Amino acid sequence: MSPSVLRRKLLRDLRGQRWQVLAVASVTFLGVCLFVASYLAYESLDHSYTVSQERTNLADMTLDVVRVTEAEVREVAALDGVAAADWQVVADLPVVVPDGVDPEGRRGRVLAEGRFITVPLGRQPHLNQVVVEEGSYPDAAGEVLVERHFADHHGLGPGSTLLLQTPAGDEPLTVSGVAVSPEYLWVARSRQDFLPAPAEFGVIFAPRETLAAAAEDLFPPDFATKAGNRLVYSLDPEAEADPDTVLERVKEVLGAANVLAATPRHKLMGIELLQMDLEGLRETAIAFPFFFLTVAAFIVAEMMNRRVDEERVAIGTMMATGVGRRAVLGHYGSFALLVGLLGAAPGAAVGLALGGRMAVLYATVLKIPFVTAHVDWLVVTAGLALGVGAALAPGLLAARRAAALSPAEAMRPFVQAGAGPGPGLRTHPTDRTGRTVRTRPSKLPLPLWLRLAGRNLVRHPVRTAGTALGVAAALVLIIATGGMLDSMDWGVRLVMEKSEVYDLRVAWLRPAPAADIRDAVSGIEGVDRLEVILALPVQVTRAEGGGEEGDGPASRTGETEAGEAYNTILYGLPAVGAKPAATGAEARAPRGLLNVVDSQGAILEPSRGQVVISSNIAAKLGVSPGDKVRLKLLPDGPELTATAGSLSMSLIGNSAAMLLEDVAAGFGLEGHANVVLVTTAPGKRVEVRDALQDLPGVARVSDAAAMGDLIRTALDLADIVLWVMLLFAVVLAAAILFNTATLSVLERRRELATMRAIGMRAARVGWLVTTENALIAALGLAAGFPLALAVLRFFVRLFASDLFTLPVHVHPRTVAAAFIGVGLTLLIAQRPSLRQVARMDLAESAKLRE
Amino acid sequence: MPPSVEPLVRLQEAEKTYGTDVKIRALKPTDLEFRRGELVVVLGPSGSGKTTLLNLIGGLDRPSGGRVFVDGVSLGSLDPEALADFRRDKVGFVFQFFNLIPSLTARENVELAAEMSGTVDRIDPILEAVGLADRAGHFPGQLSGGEQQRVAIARALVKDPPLLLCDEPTGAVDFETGKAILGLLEEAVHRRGKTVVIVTHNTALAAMATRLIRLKDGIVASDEERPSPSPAAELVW
Repeated sequence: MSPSVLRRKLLRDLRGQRWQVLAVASVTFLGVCLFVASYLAYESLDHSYTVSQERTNLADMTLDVVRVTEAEVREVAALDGVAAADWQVVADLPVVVPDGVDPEGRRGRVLAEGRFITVPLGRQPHLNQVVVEEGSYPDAAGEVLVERHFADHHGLGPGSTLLLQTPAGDEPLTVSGVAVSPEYLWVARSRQDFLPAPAEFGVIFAPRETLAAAAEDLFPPDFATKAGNRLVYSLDPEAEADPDTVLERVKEVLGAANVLAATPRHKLMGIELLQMDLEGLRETAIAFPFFFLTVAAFIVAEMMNRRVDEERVAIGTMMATGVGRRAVLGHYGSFALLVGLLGAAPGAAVGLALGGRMAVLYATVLKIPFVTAHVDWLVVTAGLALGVGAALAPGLLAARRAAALSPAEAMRPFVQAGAGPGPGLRTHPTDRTGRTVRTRPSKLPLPLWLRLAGRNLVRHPVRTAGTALGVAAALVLIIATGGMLDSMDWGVRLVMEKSEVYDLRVAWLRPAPAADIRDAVSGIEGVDRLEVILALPVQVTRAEGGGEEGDGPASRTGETEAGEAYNTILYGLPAVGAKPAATGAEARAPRGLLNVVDSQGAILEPSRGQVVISSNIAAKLGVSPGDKVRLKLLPDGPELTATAGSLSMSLIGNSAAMLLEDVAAGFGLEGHANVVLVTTAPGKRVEVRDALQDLPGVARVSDAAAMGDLIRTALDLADIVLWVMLLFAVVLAAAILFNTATLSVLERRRELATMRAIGMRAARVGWLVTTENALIAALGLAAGFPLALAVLRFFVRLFASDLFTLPVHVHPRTVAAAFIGVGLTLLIAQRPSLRQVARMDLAESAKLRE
Repeated sequence: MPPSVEPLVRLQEAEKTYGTDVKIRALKPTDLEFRRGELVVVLGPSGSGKTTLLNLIGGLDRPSGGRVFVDGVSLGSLDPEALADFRRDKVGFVFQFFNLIPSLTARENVELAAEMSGTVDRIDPILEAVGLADRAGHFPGQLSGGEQQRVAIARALVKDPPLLLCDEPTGAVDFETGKAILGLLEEAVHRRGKTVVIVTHNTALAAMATRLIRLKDGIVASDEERPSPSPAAELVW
């Protein structure tokens, strides 16, 4: 047989099995496309972040300090290993946007919190530069730059006015321009609040002189002109100094007690959050395509093995005619290669196009200043190679089997085992490859159709296992993704319905007498219920022995223990008379307006001398219930010691909580408060919020509904991911079930034709085939469910950090939808094979030899 | 039992042509009748149309022209499901390569047919009658060729159809086994009153026929009654 004839045969074979080829190609396409698109997007974004940081000279290290002077900055800049150093003042101050947009979208006077970051007047800082996108850099007193997210929300631009609220009155500031900063591509207020509504929080870059003049009542003398509370420095790459050694030297210059926190660039909150997101993209780029390509490989293996078995006689004849083994290997190998290429080539091409678009879209949403759509041809080539390889590897194995056949053996037709000359020749049943498959009659009184279906599964154990694995993979995709959404939804519900059950949260700039605050707020019409609390920035450390013990009021010490430390918010909450032995629904019912909860929603209330900390803080500090912890009031306040109680769950950020009287006594703030939580009468929330903003001393008013909307928007975006994953899962399950059902019918044509010949209706035969497929699917579901839960737990742990903790939760509806989805896919995917059964040429099929 | 006068099977100008681009006239317009109680042997070389004839009678294929009647029913008027019912009730097939379901035991293969026709109480007696009562729990792969063909005959007989259609029933077994198989088919005619049609290229089987039809190139070349057929046990090939 000439090579050109073999080529013609190859094309005809492809056409003859076009639906199976299409099934493999679809799965391969999805796997390769997902890999190439996600990985290219990841690389482009990673590169864009790096370029943006480098072009703006983003510092390698940021130190939050009590105070740093210009002289100390010069000293740090002169250290070995330091390329440059600079100082800033960073302060969260109340700012009014006279014509802003409130969380409801209404235009008017809006009180927000501005994170003021000082910059030099008239020139960019050496480090942490900003990219001015509109207007100009401030070069006159009273001018400021507004960060893009805040500006876009409130419609601010060059010439807009902001009012800085000070004890002396409102200080007008003029917006000279709108800027972006790589540090604030994700605008986060703190590790405890990294999703602030743009209506309520924004970043403002203010020249030192502007801030010093406007906020002179708020700062110590010289602050903002000659001293600040943040030191930033970059490392000299040529010096190759050890960053930890450099940091130690810097701390020596500043005084260790002066340093509140040292944050390397990659741990700056906005950058860390973006990096987490990016890593998620990279994980997706690798994990999910693996599923698809494995399933594609399995389908090709089945397809090719069957082809070789069916064409045994033809292969033997070809060889007898003079076609060499290499030509046979090449012929069957080419089939697999073409099948792989049919999916991989368009997959790589579409992935290439999508990857760039994904990166640009992402960059646009995040307002990344320098975007590089980076095409890594190695990734594209790898995707192509993986897709082709997934088909070629199993295909070559089958091709080798074909090439290894002995022509005489190959041309001998199969005869059903036991037939032939000689009476009484008994052998075990064999499968199509000639291997022995032991089967035994069932001792169970099962109906015949069930016995038949069950035994057919055992006849082809590899195919059964492979198909079940494909079904399991589809289930994992659905439940892992759906479970992530369920977990997020559960976490949000814990926050909104159990933990933070207030409507509005009002923060004062400084602690004030609690009675005054209560009177001021309760006098506002529409206020339904209020709770006065303390919310203070603290540094938590694990006490290394020492400290006062006992169940009495928290003790106060004057020293900080060395070791791991974590900065968070400490809430002082009023006791609400909880029943210690409350269980079940009683334990889960909210009591105060701010409650600390565990992952099951049970309310945790600290007792005297006890602090309840988030599980993520406990993990970072190695704290267990019963350990002693120290809490130091930031930036330079007193300390208290408390005993760690139960560990709480915080969906977003983290916190610590103690009884109000313990916190007040521990930090010398008896009778004081700085936060009020308010619930409002129906329909009165907006009015009450507006009135609260006007109270003197109020730094910000946070609307819980706005926060909920932000979270729900994020969840809506995640919904899109879920639907995409669902679609992928359906394609995966459909491809593998279609393949198995088709192969099963093709291989058993004679058997099925015989059943029809002896009088079985097509529908009944179809029912037998459906039962087998359903049993395999059931195996896949049974194996896939625990695997899906394990994968979900893995992903939840992967994304867990001190910023974000998800409770693992899968709604029964998700599980039901997954199972029903797979079931429906089974019914649809096997329809082509059932049609084959109904349209079978009985005369021809019944005469077929095995 | 003498053959009854009423024809069980009647072909009226029945013909079959295969193919679309290249047409093959497997069976030219044919008129034939088979009566109840006949043991018909249809002889012919490969390509003579004998299997096509069997397929038309058994409702496995539709004639391209003419009509086929079995037990008074025109097969051409039946839809696929009705044809399946017809095959269930009126026809038993015996194939050259047995066509047993490999994942069912001998008994279960017979049970498959019995369940459809509601004759499950006949399973054991039939297995006994074909001499396989003690092998009923074995799978086809554990049986010899002759035993498998016995199972196939039992499967065909358990439904108690009036017509048995056998396509080269001894083609895949040795001489002695073949004679035993033919003996069972003979018994089906004489003891059970079935009409048995055997299609074969083996001329030795002609001796056992009560009616011998020879086909050549899709045409009935000869059709002779044989009033004194030889018993299957005396056949030699």
